[in-house]
Parts: sequence; C-alpha cells; structure tokens
Amino acid sequence: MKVFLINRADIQFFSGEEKLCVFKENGREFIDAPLLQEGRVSLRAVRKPELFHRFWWLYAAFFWIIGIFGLFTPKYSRFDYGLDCSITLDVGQSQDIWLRFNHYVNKKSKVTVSAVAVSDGVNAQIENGFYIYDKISRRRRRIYKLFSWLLRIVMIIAICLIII
Amino acid sequence: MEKELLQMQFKERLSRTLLRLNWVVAVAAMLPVLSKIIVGVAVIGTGLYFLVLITITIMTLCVLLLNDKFRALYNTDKLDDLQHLSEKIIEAYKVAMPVLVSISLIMSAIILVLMLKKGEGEHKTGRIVSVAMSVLFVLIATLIYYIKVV
Repeated sequence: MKVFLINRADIQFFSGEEKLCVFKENGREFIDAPLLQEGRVSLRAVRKPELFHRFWWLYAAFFWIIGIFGLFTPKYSRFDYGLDCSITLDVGQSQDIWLRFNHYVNKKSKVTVSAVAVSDGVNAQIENGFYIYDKISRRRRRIYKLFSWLLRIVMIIAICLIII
Repeated sequence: MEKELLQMQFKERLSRTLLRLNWVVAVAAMLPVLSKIIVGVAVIGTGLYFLVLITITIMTLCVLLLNDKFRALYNTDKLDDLQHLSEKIIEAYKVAMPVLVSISLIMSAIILVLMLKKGEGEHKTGRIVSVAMSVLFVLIATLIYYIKVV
C-alpha cells in the first residue's frame, strides 16, 4: 500500500522490525507499506538526532578526521528533537493516503504541536505523535563543536610551529 | 531498530563527506591548468599595463621619464615570479596528479557502493550525478595536464 510522505526530512519508517525504503514518484516521496488484515497499515516513524547513541564521540571523531578537521563533514542537525510514533491507518477505500510531517516545535507555547498529520478520510491512530526534546544530543553536539574548534586551533598552531 | 538507524545515518554521512572530499580533489586536480590560465591572463594584463604606461609616456612627451619613480614602473619581475611558480606547480603535479586521480576514483567507488547498499528504488540520482561530474572534472584536468600542460 502506497503511503505518500510530505516534508519527511530525515524521518525513517519501520513496519515491525523491517525498515521501509523511501521511493520517489513524480516528485513525491512514498513508502510501500505492507497491508495487514482488515485493511490496516501499521507503521512506526522514527527520528533520532545523529549523536543519540552511546559511542557518539567515536562516530564524531571518525568523521572529524576523515572530513579533514571536520571542515568537509556535513554539520549535525540543530533540530534536537526525537520522534518515535506508531501510526495505524485504517485504509478503507482510500487511494491517496499521505502523511504530512512538520518540523516545528513551539518552545514558548505550552500546547504541543503534533508532528504528523494524516490525509482526510483515513482513520488513523497515532501514538506518541509529538517531538521529544533530546537534551543529551544537544549537549553532545555542542561539546563536539567546542572540541572541533579547539582542536583546529591547536592543529594550526602546531603546523605553524613545525613550519617555523 | 536502533542499529539499523545508526547504520543508515553512518552511511549517509560517510557518502556526503566523501562526496565533498571528491570535489576538493577535483578542484585540486585543476590547479596546474588554472595556474597556466592565470599566467596567461597575467601576460595579457602586463601587456595592457605597458600599453597604458607607454601611452602616458608619449602623452607627457617623455618628460615623466626623468622621474626615477616613473621609470621604476617599467621594471616588472612579477611576471617572471608567476611563471616560475606555475612551473613549480606543474613539476610537483607530475607526482601528485596520479595520486589525486587514484584518490578520486577510490572515493567515487566507495560512494557508489554505499549508494547501491542504500536500498532498491531509493532516490539517489542526484548524488550519482555529482559523483560522475567530479570524476569527469578530474579526468578532464588529467587529460589537459598530460596533453597540453606537460
């Protein structure tokens, strides 16, 4: 069952333990979700900041080195929010099913904004459909940035001393 | 699930980093050609410079030639320095060029392998085009270097 995705960014989809590939058709992204009994689709949408795992420092150091002092390695996303929501869609007769994601978190408002919206005419059950702030990843990203700049300055001074 | 997510993030970051490095290598491979172009432009620029200088000299009926500072303007060693630097770059690239080509091809191969492992049907056209273009730049620079420059 094709489920179209709008504004997906770096959110990944799983059906059970199987990761679903994201395809593109006419400029629109979609996943081929397996249809369960009773015409249901069960998905898990996951987004985790890159530095979420235990050995983040090894990961960051590896890319800092191969990216030549981190200059040519892509920046880590500043969106320090994780998402892990279960979406159960009751497809029915709907042909055009889409999931729209937003990447906006209103920090000032107490009202939380849902991360995912479903197309009209589709019954959907969404569990944990809100972004959760990942303080640890944010702290790790800042530590990485600080150490990256410090090491760059140290390397430049060391190179200058060697040349002189 | 977390392991799969980590693997996916690692492959994505690796292919993006290698692609950026590939373009750096492509630009570096263009250096001998660029140095020759810069020398050529400098020659034309020097020619225009002397033309303007001579025009001013004639217009002032050569009176300005009595001034030491004005006469000093006719002495230019910078073109020789630029030519010398360009020759040094070309000489250094006799060793560097094969190395750059090898590095570029290896990194492109790794990126393509990572792309193949990404998953069937997943859109990867943009990145493949970028890899192909960077390799093309390196090959063109190498061709020009060995045919024209050396």
